[in-house]
Amino acid sequence: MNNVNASPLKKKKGGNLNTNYLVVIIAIVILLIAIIVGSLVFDNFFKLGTFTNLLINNAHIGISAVGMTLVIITGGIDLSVGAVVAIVTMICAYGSADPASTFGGLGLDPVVCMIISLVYGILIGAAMGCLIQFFDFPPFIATLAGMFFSRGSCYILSTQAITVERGNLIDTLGAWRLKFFTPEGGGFSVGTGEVDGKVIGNLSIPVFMFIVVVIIGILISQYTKFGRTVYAIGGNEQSAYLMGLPVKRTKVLVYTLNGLCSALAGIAFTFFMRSGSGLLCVGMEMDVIASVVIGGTLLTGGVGYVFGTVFGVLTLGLIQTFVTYASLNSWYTKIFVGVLLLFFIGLQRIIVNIADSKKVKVAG
Amino acid sequence: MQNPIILQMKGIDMQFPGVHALKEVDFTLRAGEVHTIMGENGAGKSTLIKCLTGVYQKGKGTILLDGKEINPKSTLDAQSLGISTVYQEVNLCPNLTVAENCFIGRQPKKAGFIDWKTMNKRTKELLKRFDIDIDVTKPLSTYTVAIQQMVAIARAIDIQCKVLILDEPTSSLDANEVKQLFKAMRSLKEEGMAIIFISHFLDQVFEISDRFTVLRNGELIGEYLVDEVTQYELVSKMVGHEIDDLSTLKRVQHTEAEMKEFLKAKQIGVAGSVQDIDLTLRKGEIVGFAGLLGSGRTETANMLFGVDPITKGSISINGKKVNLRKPSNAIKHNIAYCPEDRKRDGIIGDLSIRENIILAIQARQGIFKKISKKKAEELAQKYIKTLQIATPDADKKIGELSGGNQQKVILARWLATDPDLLILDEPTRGIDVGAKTEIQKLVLKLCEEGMSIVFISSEIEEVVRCSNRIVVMRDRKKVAELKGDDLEHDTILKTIAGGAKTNE
Amino acid sequence: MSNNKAPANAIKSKKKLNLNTQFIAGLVALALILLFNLIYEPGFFRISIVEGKLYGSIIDIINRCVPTMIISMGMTLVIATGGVDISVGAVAAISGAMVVSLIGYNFDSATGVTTTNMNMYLAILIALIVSTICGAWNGLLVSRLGIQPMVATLILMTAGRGIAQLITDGQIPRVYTEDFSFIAQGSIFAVPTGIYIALAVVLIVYAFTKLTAFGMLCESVGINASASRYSGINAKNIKLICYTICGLCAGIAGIHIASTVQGADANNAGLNIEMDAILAVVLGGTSMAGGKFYIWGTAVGALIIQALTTTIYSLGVPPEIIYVVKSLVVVIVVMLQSNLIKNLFKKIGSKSKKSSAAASV
Repeated sequence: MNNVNASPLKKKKGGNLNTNYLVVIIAIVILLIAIIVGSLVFDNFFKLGTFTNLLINNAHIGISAVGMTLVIITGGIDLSVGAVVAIVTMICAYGSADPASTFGGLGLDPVVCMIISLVYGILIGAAMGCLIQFFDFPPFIATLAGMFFSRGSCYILSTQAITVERGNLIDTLGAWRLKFFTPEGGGFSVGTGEVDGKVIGNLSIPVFMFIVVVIIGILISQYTKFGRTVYAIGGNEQSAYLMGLPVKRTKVLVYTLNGLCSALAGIAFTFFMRSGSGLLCVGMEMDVIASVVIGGTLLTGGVGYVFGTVFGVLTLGLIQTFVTYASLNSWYTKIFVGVLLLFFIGLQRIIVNIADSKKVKVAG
Repeated sequence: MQNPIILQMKGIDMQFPGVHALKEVDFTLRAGEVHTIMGENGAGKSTLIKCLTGVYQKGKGTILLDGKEINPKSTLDAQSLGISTVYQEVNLCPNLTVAENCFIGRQPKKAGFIDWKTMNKRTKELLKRFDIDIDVTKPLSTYTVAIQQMVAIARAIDIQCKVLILDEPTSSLDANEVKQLFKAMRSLKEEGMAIIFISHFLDQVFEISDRFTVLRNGELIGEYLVDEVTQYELVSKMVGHEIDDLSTLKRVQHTEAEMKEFLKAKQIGVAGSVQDIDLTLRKGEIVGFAGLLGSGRTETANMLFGVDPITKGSISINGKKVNLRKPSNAIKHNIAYCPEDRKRDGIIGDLSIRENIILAIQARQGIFKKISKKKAEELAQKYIKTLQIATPDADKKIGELSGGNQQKVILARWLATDPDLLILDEPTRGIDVGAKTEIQKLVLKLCEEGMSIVFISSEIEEVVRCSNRIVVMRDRKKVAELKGDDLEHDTILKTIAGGAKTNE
Repeated sequence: MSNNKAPANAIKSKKKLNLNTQFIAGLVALALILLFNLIYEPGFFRISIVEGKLYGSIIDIINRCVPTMIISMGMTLVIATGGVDISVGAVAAISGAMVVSLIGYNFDSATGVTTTNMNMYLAILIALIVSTICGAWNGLLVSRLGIQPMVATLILMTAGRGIAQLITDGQIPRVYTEDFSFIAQGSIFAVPTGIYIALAVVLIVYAFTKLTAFGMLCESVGINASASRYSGINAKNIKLICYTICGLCAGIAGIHIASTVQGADANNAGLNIEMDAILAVVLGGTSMAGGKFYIWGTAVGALIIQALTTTIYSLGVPPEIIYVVKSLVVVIVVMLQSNLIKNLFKKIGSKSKKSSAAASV
């Protein structure tokens, strides 16, 4: 009955603190090396504009990756994010389009559309969470269903790609930039709208959304009971339950939260594209998962940092920038990302193994 | 001096399908004492504890905590009533920091956010009570199991617990760590905490306990103060004397010449587990492994079968040195092994009896030489008949059989490979007396036919009855090898209990 | 003699009753979809022969589900061992890119002469070897390095399409030779060739799992890895073989897709086919947790998915809405497999039994 005869060499999940940070540190180091190499190899690379563009182009991935980090820390996965982003672009673009326009449209207030988008994200997230928690769905299958549902629903709205009309609030917000510029007389200044001088970089609203989501993500994951329960579940779900933590509620909530993040990412992406289509962001979930892994989160759960994910997103974005700068063909991005993934997964595996073998010695 | 009674369990009765796990057991726990529940596997220790901690709902009987009747519905429920359990497998989260493991779920807060500083400070203070001074901001997994257990105990105590249950806490600790744990237990005892202790290590039990309750086969044998019994008496109470319905069994004794050496192990051991075991196994001889649970019996069997490859020493078969890195190596050398944990390591639940029986031969033959349906059915029918497996046909899933029949199927799986050496780890555990006799008879018959057999069992009677030679294990070491005249129940008991050393 | 025969018969008759309920549920679902089509469009089952080739909605469904069915065969084995392979779409793309690029079709419009660089069969062989290696790569990551299956195959899923594009140099190379088109679009005895290929793959996988011990060993590993190890099964090699077969299946499907479109679109060939394949396996009654697997169940699952798609097309609604229907089907099927519902049914069952017993008394 008591499992005493089990081998005393017990396998342990997770490494120690140093190794946990180590993966994040490696992600940061790789990002820095990449920046240095980029600066040396490419002329015109090391400048503010490169980095602000990096943020603008990847803000939606980043927003989504924050939610995904939490999901992966519980030991789950969410494949629906790309599809949820797509449907949100449709809700925003199609919903706010004038019914008299060529696409049809619903003529709703853009703010209402955004609220509907957020509600959709929350609901689909909660639904997937419930399927996983109460009906024992493998997260893979439940979120696959969520992905199919969201992707298909795009086409229920419209099969066309909808461009947001000029003057629409979404268009205005999407076009807004915080500009860094060199005024006529030299120096450095910040402004919006038309600026006098040479613009050397700018930030869009999605970038600020990204920053806010990251800050909230860090606060939630490190400084709330909910966040710590997420980690506990990833460490050992059974223990978490025995310690009296609300495991069920937390698991449903974490998918709900990720649904919300996906919806926010969708709104950010609508600002970025200023159009909506059911064809957008196919396979984006894999980019998001890849950035989370590169950022040091273990796919087995329990270990990871929202902070690290930020670097994962930037590293991934930087690869794209490189490929563009080197005028390589776009497919090299995918191959590089694959190689980087292999590197990080292998690295994590080695670290976990070392942590395990250390444990054996101590236990013996 | 009698301390006030904290917890009382009266007439606890539990029935599972086919097993009467607890028969009207009483248990009384007093404040400021360490009370050890003793008993071999299946004695009902775990069931009793599980009734108390709300894992099982007791069938009959009452539980009084501080004089009030309680009915814990779940572990959480029991915890909120003040009954906390610390298991051998520490039930904490290895990835969280020490401080967090102490306070998760009730973290101190400042302005709505978790106040890590206060939490770390309070954890440090809490652990100081156990003389532990560690960096509480490191993940739990960086520390030894001993410290992890201490953290678990600290957490339990800080949640206002009245009864602390320590379930096999010392199994994976070394001598120093055990000392550390016992020190903590003593200081808790002085503060008036009531502690229920479960362990198989006799020396430890005698060192720390104030009182024993002994269970056997779900029955209460008695409650004793530590001074009232010797180790020998305690072991004999735990092991008991089975009704001797097996007197007809006759041990086979081949002549020395007939018993050709099959396997010889020299100083084998695995890092962090059993050490320096010497062993010779011969054809036509049954070697019994006696010893309490956790004494290293199963670990030795695992080494012989390549489950835990040896890191020290050497094994030779038929005089040739062999390298057993995995079970398939051992099977190639005609070794067979019925593991102890039938459910985890034995049965393939969703496969049919027939498939379970041919599994090992099939694995040995490889993927492409499939055993024909006809041959498989023949084999299945043969063993269903000779082993009297109760089933309508060989298509039934093994998972749907009773424990005894499952065991017979596993036996059949190995007999089908026609092994030279058969290792049986607790082959009769959890099965009824009838099936038990059949299996013992079969073992003797196989030996007579010239098979070499290792027989591991917690029931000394059984080992004595079957074996030609008995290896006695204690605290992960081989302490004696008994033969011929030494094969007496009492001699073995004494050896297991460390009789030579104790106050006999 | 007669004594021996009786129990054998008993076993047989019992087996018939024991048919996998999931498989029957799948057949019923398929029948319902087809019935719906029949009512909606009475000519649904009509099959005609045009230019020596069969035409009709039914043929269309079978023909279109060929790639999914081929891949889902490999996927069944992988899932049976408790794993999953999400790189199959990318591997199919690599295989397609490989075969088309190697053949290197060239049409000189001035002379009207077509040339190819390589014999088609050799090109196919190389493409299949490459995709087998892709599968083995996944298998090594899973079995030897112990990486979670989903994570391990994520690597190739991400990099695979990039590799495929690298092979095609970002173009969509074309092959317009008759031989190559014949693979997917030709017909033998009026039956489209693709159907032969699918049937062959299904039969070979079925035979491989049933005529050798491989099927049983896979299930054994999927049901209880520890007990399998104690029985001497080399679980690592079993897993490796499963992933390798899965890669090969993806390669075959990739060639079929390339032949269908007469070219290799590295970006879109086999897009999302991993999801369909996994879905087909689950619909067929194999649990994602591993263990017992059902080759024919998977085949029916693949047909269900395609029948659904075709039905949506024929309804005239935007075909992409198929995703919504698929999601609902997945949820319903997996929910029926979940313990909560099973227990609920059991309760209802036992209650009705009790009440009927009471009534009979």
